[in-house]
Amino acid sequence: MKATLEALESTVAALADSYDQLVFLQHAVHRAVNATDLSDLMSLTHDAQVLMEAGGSAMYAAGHWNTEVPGWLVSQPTPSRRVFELDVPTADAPAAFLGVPFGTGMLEIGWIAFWDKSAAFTAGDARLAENLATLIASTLGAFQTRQRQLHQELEEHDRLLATRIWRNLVAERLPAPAQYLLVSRSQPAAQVGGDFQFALGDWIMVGDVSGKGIAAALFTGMFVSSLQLAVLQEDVGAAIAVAIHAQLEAAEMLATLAVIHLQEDGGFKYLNMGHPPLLIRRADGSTEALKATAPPLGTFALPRYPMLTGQLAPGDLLCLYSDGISEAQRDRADGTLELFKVSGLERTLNAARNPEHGLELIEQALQGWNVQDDLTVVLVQYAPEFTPAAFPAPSFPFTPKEPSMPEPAPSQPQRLELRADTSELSTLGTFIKDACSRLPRPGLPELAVTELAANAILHGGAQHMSVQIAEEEAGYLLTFEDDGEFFDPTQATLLPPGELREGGYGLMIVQRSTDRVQYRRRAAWNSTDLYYRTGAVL
Amino acid sequence: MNIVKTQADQVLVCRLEGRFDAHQVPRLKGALEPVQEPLSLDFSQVTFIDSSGLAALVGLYKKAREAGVAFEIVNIQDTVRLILELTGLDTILPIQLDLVPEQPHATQI
Repeated sequence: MKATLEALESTVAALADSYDQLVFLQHAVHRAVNATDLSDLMSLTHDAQVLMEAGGSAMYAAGHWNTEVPGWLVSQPTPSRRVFELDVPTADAPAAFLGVPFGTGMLEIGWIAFWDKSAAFTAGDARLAENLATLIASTLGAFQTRQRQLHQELEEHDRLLATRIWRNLVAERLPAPAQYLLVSRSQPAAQVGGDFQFALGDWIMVGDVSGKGIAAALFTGMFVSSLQLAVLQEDVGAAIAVAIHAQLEAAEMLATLAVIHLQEDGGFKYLNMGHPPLLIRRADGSTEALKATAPPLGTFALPRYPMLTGQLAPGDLLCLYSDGISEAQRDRADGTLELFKVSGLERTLNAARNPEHGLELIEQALQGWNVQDDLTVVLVQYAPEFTPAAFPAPSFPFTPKEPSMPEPAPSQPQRLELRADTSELSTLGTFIKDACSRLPRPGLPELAVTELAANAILHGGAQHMSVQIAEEEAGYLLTFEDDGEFFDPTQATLLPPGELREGGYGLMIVQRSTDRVQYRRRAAWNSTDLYYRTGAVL
Repeated sequence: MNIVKTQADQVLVCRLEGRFDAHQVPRLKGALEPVQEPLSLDFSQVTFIDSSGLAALVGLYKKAREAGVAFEIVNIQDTVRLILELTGLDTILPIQLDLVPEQPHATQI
């Protein structure tokens, strides 16, 4: 009878223990899901220790114990299965011990240990520890996944930030110097690689900062700032080196730079600081390479950076580019790697008639090639006959052409040239309003040209703008020109009127305030004609 | 561009003077945002406004609506009316034709 009673009491105690363990594990799952770091898991282990009525516990993860442990435990190896004795017996080992491993394969590997219990650890204790170990392994795996995601998000954030910084610094298209045609293309790699192109007046520069991401983007910014001042110095290269070299050296980075100063008579001077050779495709089909004249910045600085001179004849095509083109690669049939090389670019340019055609040929030639770096190419052609100043003023199409009637002599067109800056809009507006005083609503042409100008300044990156106003008997022809990015206001999609939105009105105003709009691209200039009839009231 | 601010019966009356194009718009927004109280914009002295100015007006109107405060534009002149008509905003923005009396203690910005 007594034995039966003891057995019954033992069963009840075991059931109570099982119930406590079940409740503990239910809570443990919830706590593990919300765990944010190892301390939460150590707290769980400690609570399991209390439930087992053990005197100590510890968790070994990520290659070390996550709390201070007794000396006998420090060098114990991770057991391969549950153990009730130490693998390496020591004199001071506890009488009761339980060790349970966790983690296999992709999961974090480690183990948990419990010791100092008045009696031996039971099978129930071992099951509890094993369930806890499984939970810990899963939670550590979730930590890793979370960290990887966070890392990826940070990388993506940095990549987008670098791209944004870089795009703000590096114009997508450059304006053409007087007497030259110019097209350019600037395309960042997935990780911004530090290419930049820059134009200031008759100066054109293409460079490449080593490294990627934000560091490369920031050095690009330093370049763009310092180049503006450097071109004012007698020794441009030395000025750039003073501004940039030490910082590059300190950051263990380097940069290559090609600088060319184009003159209106086709003469030029250039400096090549470790950059791929500038190519000149002569009008007769031959090619010249302007190789490096100085080492890259960040390697070793020279006391002086003399610029070499050269001469372009009408039709000669100059190409500045980055190594994104020459190092474009593809797999040959035999599995070896093939580079596009400078020679590939030379061959491509050979057939180019003009810069736009050259760019088209390069883009065609690179199809099937893997361009891994930023890609920058600037093509310049000496073509004095195409400069905006040589363009004849277009005739006013609304003037009646009746042979029997003598045509009134048109008055001399009025012309205003301005810096492309919003601070000049007021001057532009006053000029137009005064010149178009015969219109019933002289505010209309002022409005339309202001919209074109603001668009060119704020969105087209224009540096210069001009307006010419020709007064005819039937009305006015206004020709607005800017050297910003290609933009045809007649082709742009108009948003509907009468909507409450913060933008999208400019082109609507241009088209609705004008009798007729015509657009053409003249070399590097957007040229927009606006017609207003003196008898018309819109 | 000038902005003369006066307070009238819990309404902030702002008389805009001169030209409002892309150059002046940042200053206009800086002077009038955030919109936290009823706002009345007096356009009697505005000589020119372009699409940037219009966009700023729409932005102010939206912010006033979000803040739950009244917003109105008064005394628009022909040049401004023209651009509002071209863009269809004349029927959307709250434009009043009544004159707003000049208030004392004006602050010029």
